[in-house]
Amino acid sequence: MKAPVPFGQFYPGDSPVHRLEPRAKMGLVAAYMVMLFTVDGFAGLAAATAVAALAVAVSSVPSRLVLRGIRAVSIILVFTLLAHGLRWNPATVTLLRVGPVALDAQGLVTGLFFVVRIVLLVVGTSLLTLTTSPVRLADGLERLMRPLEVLRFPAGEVAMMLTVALRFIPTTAEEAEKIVVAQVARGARFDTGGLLKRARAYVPVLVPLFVNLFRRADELATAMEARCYRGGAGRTRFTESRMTLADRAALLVGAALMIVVGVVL
Amino acid sequence: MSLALSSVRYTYAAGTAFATDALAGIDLAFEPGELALVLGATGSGKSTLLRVAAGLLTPLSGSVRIDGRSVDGPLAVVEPGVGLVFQSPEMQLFAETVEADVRFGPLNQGLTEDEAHHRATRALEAVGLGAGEFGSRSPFTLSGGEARRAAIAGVLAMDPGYLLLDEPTAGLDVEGREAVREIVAASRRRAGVVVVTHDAEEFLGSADRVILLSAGRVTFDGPADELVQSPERFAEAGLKAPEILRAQILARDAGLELTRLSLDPADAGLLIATARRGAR
Ligand SMILES: Nc1ncnc2c1ncn2[C@@H]1O[C@H](COP(=O)(O)OP(=O)(O)O)[C@@H](O)[C@H]1O
Ligand SMILES: [Mg+2]
Repeated sequence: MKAPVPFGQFYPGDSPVHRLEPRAKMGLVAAYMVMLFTVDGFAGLAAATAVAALAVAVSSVPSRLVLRGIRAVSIILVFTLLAHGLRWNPATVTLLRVGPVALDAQGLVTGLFFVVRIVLLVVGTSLLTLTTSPVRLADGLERLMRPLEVLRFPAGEVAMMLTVALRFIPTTAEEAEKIVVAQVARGARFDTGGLLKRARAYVPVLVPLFVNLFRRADELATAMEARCYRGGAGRTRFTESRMTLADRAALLVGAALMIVVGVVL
Repeated sequence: MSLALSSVRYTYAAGTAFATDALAGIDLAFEPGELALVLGATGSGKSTLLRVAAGLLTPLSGSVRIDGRSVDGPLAVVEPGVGLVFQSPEMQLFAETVEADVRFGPLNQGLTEDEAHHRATRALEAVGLGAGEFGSRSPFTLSGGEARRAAIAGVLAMDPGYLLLDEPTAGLDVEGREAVREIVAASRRRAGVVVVTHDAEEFLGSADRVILLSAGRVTFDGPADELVQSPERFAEAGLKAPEILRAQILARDAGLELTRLSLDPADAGLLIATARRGAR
């Protein structure tokens, strides 16, 4: 079924960003985050913005989709800005004053710095999930976690859990939507009454949703066992992704560059 | 008196790159007491048609009128009401007991507990799940066919003037399908019934009227027998003709001169036998 891509969901494509090996991509995103948290001025943020803009441009993912994640954190952004911008009584550069509360220009600038940092963080991580299919993402995570198996960490199982969970997110969302409409057809209302009444109105949606989920989980587990799934250790993938020389070079050069920029600026 | 759709268009995700035209100008009127069968291939817009007819989706253009009135929002709660049985309706069972689940709709309509209980008992009887035996069971312990019937009872209990069913027999065993066909046949006495399916085998024999839906348009609207006599229309709508008709078409292709086609096996056998005698 055709549906609009929700925020952060995979947007298929064949750009260099899509083709980059998942581990290399995660490494680059990690370095990008290090850069974001080590810069201490707007010059550094500008450099990070340039990096993000370049990556988005090369990925050919519509910027509308990349920016969609910002809406989800918009409340945090407003809060961040106000938390820095509002002062109780003394302020350095007062822009506006209502009683004892002042809007401080210097505070706003600091707030803006943090807001831009959060936006860039969201853009970077959105681009990672938009350009990497869930399966490749889980595969990448598994390989990154594999050294932990020495410490008896069940990397394979965790990766399988992630893959299955990711696989069922769209199905579950679709099912929830269907049940909501079905209960509306039986006269249920979700938009009237106080908070408690509204919360209770969702019981007829949540109960069947969870019952179906558990039932499906049970069936899936049985079906996997019937096909001889015995935990993740020693499992291989149908398509094993490999780091090519280009992936390694991109990771090394990109990460080094970003971290140096982050420390200097 | 009718549930009437005029020039109804519906597009999912309108105005985006993902826009899908599901209904491209539908004019239909359903009458009380009539069993109308809507046949269409997967993706032809059947489910969308029912959602629009039940007031759950607002058409992009055109209108839905119930007994001459146009109403905004779900038509389940207005008089005479439109009840919609979704595909796999057993998915929506949620209450602690079957009876409580069936009461959910009537209570939302504003009936008292007593009236709702009375309605639930009657509806459960109507679908063949005696309230005594099944009423106090958890809906999650029912078999597939029983759960389907309980879900249908939940809609019947709202006493709709028009009953819409989306693929009501899909995924059931032979017995379950038979039970649902009986419920549908019995409901037409109380309501106008619209059944939507891609399976021409199930309801063709009992429908008063058949509507073919293809890519969001009505390509045929008439008595079932008219459709039976021109079975090429099934293929044109991307559907499989019923096996019994295919057998007669093969007989025709083999040179037998059948005067007409029939859905009834005994009748069809007779037609073929007569044609063979004539051929000698
Ligand atoms: N929620 C939705 N979002 C986008 N497109 C949809 C949605 N539901 C259905 N469609 C599309 O609308 C068309 C008609 O769908 P539907 O009414 O479900 O058909 P049917 O029930 O006959 O299989 C199909 O092309 C389908 O892909
Ligand atoms: Mg459908």
